[in-house]
Order: sequence, then structure tokens, then C-alpha cells
Amino acid sequence: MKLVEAVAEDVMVVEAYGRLDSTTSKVFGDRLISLLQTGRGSLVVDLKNIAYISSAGFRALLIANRAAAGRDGKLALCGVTGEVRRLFDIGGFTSEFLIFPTQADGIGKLRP
Amino acid sequence: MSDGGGRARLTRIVGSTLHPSQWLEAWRSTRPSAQPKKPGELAYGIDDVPPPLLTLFSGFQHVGLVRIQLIFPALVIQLAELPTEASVNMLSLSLIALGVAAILQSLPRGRVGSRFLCPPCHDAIFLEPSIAALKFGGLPLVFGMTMFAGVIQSVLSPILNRIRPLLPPEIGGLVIFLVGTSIAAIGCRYMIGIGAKEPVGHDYWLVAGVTLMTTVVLNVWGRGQAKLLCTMVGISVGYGLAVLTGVLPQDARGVLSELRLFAIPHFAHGGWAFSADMILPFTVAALAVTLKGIGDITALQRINDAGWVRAEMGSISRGTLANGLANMFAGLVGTSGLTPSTANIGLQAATGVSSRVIGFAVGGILLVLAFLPSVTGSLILMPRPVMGAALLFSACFVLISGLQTITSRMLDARRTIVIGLGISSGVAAELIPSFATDIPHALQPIVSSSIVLGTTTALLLNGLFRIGQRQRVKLALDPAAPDAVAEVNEFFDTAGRGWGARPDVMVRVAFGINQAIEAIREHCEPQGPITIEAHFDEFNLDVRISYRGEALEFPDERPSGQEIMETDAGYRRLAGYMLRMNADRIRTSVKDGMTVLEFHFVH
Repeated sequence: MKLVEAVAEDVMVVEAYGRLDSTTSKVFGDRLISLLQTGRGSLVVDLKNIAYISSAGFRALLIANRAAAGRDGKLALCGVTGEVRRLFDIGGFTSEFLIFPTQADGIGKLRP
Repeated sequence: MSDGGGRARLTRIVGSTLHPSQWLEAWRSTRPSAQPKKPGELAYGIDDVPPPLLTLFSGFQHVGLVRIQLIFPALVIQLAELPTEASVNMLSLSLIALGVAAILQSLPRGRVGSRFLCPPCHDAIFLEPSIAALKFGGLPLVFGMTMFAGVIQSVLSPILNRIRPLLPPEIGGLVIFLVGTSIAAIGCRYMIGIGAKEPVGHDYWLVAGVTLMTTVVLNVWGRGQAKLLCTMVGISVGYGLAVLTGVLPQDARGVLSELRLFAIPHFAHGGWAFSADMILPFTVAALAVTLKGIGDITALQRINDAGWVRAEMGSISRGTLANGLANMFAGLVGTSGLTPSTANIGLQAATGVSSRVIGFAVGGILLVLAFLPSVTGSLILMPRPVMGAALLFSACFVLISGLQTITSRMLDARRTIVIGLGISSGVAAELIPSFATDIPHALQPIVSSSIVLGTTTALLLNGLFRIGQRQRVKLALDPAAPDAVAEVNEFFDTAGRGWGARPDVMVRVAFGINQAIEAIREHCEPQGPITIEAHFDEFNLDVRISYRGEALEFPDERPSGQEIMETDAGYRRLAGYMLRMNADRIRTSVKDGMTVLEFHFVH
């Protein structure tokens, strides 16, 4: 898995590439928490290049979401399409996250 | 795909471990409901009765689409060079056959008919064999062999379910693609003027170009009725231009004006003939129509059932029989072959009106039109450039429909070769027609037709390649191996291509296996290898995972976010819940220390 980080309009954006499974989710989740703690507490995570997400990946996202809320911040997801969208739906996670169609939409919502 | 009600029932019924009899009951109760659920977007579903005016209006809309396809028998009639009155009479007989077929398909009970609004039409599939039969033995051979095709369809109808492995969807797509190339070739020849009796000039090409452009513009940028009836409008514009430019000869215009408003069709024609040389082309046409019919009736099932899960073979079988009987009737009265009309199925999806009652209205209107020769006569004298443009336009959609069907399945090397050589031989027959003259007479009916040669090549290769093709595959996996994930994914990718499985189903299978292996590694302390076995047939894909270790739990409800984040039990139950929701059925059992997970996917 690869993470590409950037700041756009004062909002931290993380683009994730590859698989979010039991071997990669720990690193992924820890990095999101770290960014939330050192930054403004809000984060856009782009999942459009994620090919597979398992229960471990969802757990990491839930923990990051709670960490953002704990700092009065927000975690926004975008690029949730295709197979990843189906997995969000069957896991009942679609309503648990702020989900936007594109990075720009997510940044627009989280911009300070 | 699975129905939501079925899924809810499933979650109530299936515990972590079931007795076989309970499992059977669960399996039965999660099968698709016998009563289709009307989708919200349908204003009038299959059993609804719309108001009389709407029924009549919808009937005329459907007849408008069916009428466009009369260009196919019209082309055969033109080539037969019959007197105008006999030609118009033959088209009237076509309308009678179409009317009877529309009613047969809509019958609400009995062994005949799909029980859907499934208007028939003349189709390009019968065009090439009909032209070949016309050249070989005149119209009697066209009629006789059309009846023969109807017999083949009727014989196939009750055994469709059993022979489907021999007729996989990608070969259905190949046949449709070859039909497209055949129509495109005829359309191009007509548009350019190849084979015309007299040299053609700029006016001829102008008529062809304007007809094609009008149709294309209306189809791409038009809306509502203009879009739906673009071919008819294009033909009308081309016809008008042909009159203005003199492409339609003066004497033809005279003939048109002399046609009577009302006339009773007569069934006297030159009789019926049969020829062994034509058996193969018409058998292939019957197979092609049957394959197309399976797709058409499946589309109707999907339009009319919000909880559609898979093709229901009962209505497909009855619909195929109805089409077979209709073709026997068409040959008997003296016209060429019919198929279910795909365009009319699209109209139902577009308008949300799918009532079976309209099928009877369509039948009635077509039967009435059969008595009005002045309405149908214009098709007989349709100028060649106009007909060519209409054929070329139709070919675009047929070609793409064929390609989409071919690529709807995963293709391994065997299937790629079957389709590749099928297309190549079909195109070769179209490009090198002289080849047919140098081979033995008995083989000429195969080689002289692109559709027949391409389809025969593909069917033979498919039969050959089925030798040694395994429907059951097995993999022993070391759960600690660093490349276990890649190994599993490659295993299922190879198997899916070999089976010609649907990519969307294989994506679900891939998730299920990856998630299961992950969960077993993380939560079940597996001892030794994990064995994965998969079995496929056209309707079912079953995967069985066996390992020594603790069993997974498949809960009815998802654990809460807090449980997932804070407890190992919650995290573990989430994996089980995702697995349950991903498969159509799931079962777990423990025997002699081996835990077995079974996943079923509807294909």
C-alpha cells in the first residue's frame, strides 16, 4: 500500500493506493491518526485507488473517524466507487462516514 | 445479485451451523420468488391493465418499431422481383405472422408464450440464409426453410437449460456480431450502389447520405418519439429526397399511387420447398434467434421484476416455443423468419408501460394493417440507397450488442481462440467469397455464409475445448506464506477465465475468499494448509474452504462501531458479517476437527 499526502486549501489530503487489509491497515490507520493529531484535526482520504478493503480497513477508518471527532475535526472520504462502494454498502458503513464524490467536494466541505 | 427480502430471510434462517435438511429449507426459501415484484419505475406492469386509449396508443408505438423491421422481408421480396401486387401481398402476410406471434407471446397461461409484452419483428438473422435460399430455390425454399427453423426452435425449447454449456453467452455474442457484419456489408453495398442495375450517380449517394445522417442526428440528439422513431423518420426523409431527385423512378411512383387502401390478403403462393444444402444455414439462424431470444426474454424479466436474480428458464422456454411456432406459421403463410424485437423491449423500459394486454393490441393492429396494402406498399419500392442507410444504421447497434455480449464474460486463451477464430472465419467468408467456389459442393453452404462459417467454427472449437476443461478446481494454501493473497487471486482469475464466468460475480468471490483467508489467519489460529475448492456451472459458483482451526461466526447483525473498534470479538464478527452479506448463501460446519466454510454465489 502507498499513501500520497498533500495539503490543498489548508486541508490535509491523503490518497491511498493498493489494498487495505490486515497487513496494511495498521500502518494506514496509525498514519491517519498521526496526521489528525499534528494537523488541524480534519482530513480528506481519497480511496479511488483502493482495490480491496476488508474488515481490517473498515476498522482503521472507524478509529480514525473517532479520533477526528475527538479533536472537533472531521474525516471525509472520497473516491468511494465501484467495488469499494459495494463493500461500504454491504457493511452498512455508508452512513457512518462523510462521503463525497470527489476530493474537491471533500476539501470544500472541510476548508476552514 | 440478490433480493433484499431473500437476504433478510437468509439472515434469520441461517445460523452458524445447519443440519442438511435445514440448509435445504434455507436454500429453498432464499430462491427467487415465484411472484415477481413490480419495479417502482413501471407505470403499468405485466399484469396491469392500462386504460383503453393508452393501450391503443402504446400498441401503435410498438407497431411503429415492428414496422421498421419489415425492410428485411422487403429486401428479400425486392430480390425475388415479384410483381408489385404479389410483393405487397407477401408483406401483408408478414403482418399477419407478426400479429399472431405477438398474441402467442402474450398468452397469460399455457405452455406457449413468454407471458410478457414481447412483440416480434423480422430480423437480420434470417436475412442472409433467406437470400441464399432465394438464390438456390426461390421463395418456396425460403418459406420451407423458415418452417424448418421454426421446428428446430420448437425442439430446442424444452431442453434449453441442458444445452446451455454448448451455447455459452460469448458464442451468442459472436453470432450477433457476425449478423452485424453481414448487415453492415449489405448496407454498404446498397449505399454505394454496388450491384445496382444501372450506374449510380451523385443523387444516389446524396439520398443514402441524407437518410443515414437524418437517422443518426435524431438518434443522437433527438428526444422522445423523434429518437424512438429515428429510423422511420430517416427512411421517410430519404424516400422524399429520392422522389425529388428522381432516384425513385417515375413508374415506381405510379405503382405506389395505384395500391388499394383495402384488400384481403391471399395465401396462394408457390408452395414450400426443402433442401439439405440449406439445413445448416437455417439451423444456425434458428440457434442465433434462440440465443437472441434468451437475452431478450431475460431483459423482459429484469424490467418486470425488482427482485430479479437470475434468468427464469420457464418463460424463456415457452417464449422460444412461441417463436418457433410463429416461424412455422410465417413459413406456412409465406414470409421470412421472425424473432422477438429488442427495440420494443427498450421501448418498455423507456416508457414504463409493460402490460401484457398491449401485446394483444399490437397483434390486433398488425392484423388490421395486413388488410391495408397502401400502408405497407411503400416498403416494397423503397429505394436501394435508403434501404442501405437503414441497414447500416441497424448494423451499428447489432455489432456493438454482439461485442458487449462477448466481453460480458471473462475469457481465457481457449475462449479467446474460439471467439477470435469464429470472427476471423466469418469475416473471411465475407471478404473472400470466391473461396466458396473452390471447395466441395457439400461444404459450400457452410463456407459461403459469414454467419454460418463463423458460428460453426466457434461451436466446433467450443466443443473441442471442453475436453479437459475442469469445472472443479482446488488449491492448497499456506496461510503464513507472504504471497498467499496473490496466489489466491491468480487462482480465481485463471479459474474464472476458464469457466467464462461473469466478472462481477468473480469480484464478489475474490472479496469473499480474501476476507475469509484474512479472518482465518487473524482469528482462527489455523494449523496446516487451508484448502480451497471451487465448483462452477452456468448458474452456480460454490467455494469451499477447509482448515484446522476455530470456526468463524456469521452474525445476523453487524457489530456496532464501538464493538468493532474496541473488542477483538466485534472486529472478528465484522469479518463474519461482511462474508455473510457478500455471498448469496453461506454455511459453516466442523467435522473431525476440520472447519468447513461454504459460500454459494448465484451466477
